[in-house]
Amino acid sequence: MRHYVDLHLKPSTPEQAKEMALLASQLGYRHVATTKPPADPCERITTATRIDIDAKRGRELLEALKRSRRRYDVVAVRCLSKEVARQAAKDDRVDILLFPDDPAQRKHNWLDHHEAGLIEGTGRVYEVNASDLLATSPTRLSKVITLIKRDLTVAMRHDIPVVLSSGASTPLAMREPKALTALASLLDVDEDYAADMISTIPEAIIERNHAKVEEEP
Amino acid sequence: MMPVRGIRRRYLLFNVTTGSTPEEKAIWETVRDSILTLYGVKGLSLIDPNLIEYNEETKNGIIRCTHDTERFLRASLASIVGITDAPAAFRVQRTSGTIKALRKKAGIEKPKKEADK
Repeated sequence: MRHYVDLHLKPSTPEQAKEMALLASQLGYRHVATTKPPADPCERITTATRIDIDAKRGRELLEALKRSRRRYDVVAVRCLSKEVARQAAKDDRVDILLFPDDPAQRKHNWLDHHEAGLIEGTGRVYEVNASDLLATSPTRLSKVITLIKRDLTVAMRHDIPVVLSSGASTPLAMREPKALTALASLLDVDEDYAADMISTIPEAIIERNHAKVEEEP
Repeated sequence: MMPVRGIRRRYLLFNVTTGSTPEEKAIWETVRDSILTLYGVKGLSLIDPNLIEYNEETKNGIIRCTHDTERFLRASLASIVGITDAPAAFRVQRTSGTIKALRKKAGIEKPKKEADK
């Protein structure tokens, strides 16, 4: 039986984090990762801590990684420039690479073959946020789909695992696991792989990081 | 020999989370527009959606589609973020191949109009 995982919840307060963790458990998720820890631990779901590092320069990223790696279960880097994307692609402390959701920023900044070559075989993953695919305007949505599909083509060619997360900042933006896999159909991802994107692949990241923490003296 | 149905259907029980109380017509128009945005007129024809019922009190509804387009309907429902300018989310709770089984599983009674027939 699959254990569904939402690796990207972005609540604004610890109370909202708790509300979102509870909702995630009702929707059928087993694990979530939130950028703010919930006010009280929720019994029905395991919660991991996550940080999204926004960096424009490689040096900024290195400093942020030094400060944050041991404090968070999951470390994601939003690649705001090519320099940061390259640095994140080769740094073992990074779990997830994600790219800006704004098509204008993404136009000159995407997962290229060079970065993909650096990520290949390392266990780092490329993340797609379903919040990017929720209806805004058809024009914007079509642009976002084109840009994500371009990245996915590169990721698939280099066997880079892809994670699908909600990227929800409010409970209203959260969806049940099957809705996320259905949204992946917009990106021409087949149903089985879409299910892996929200279960086995993110679960492996959490397990790997827990194992690393246990190994440390 | 058992008669074979020409078109197989899927029935989806959904719940709408929103602060307002949208009417059935608004729900239908929102779903239809979402399908049109994502898949166009051809997609709408293939999915062949039909809002079977919607309860304004519980905000639960049943919608039908063709058997092999369930994923497209789910994607269309998932991508809805608002109804008549109020933020909203559609969440599918159960699915079934027959409306009778869906109602039984979800513990929903037949609407009065239908039960009277």
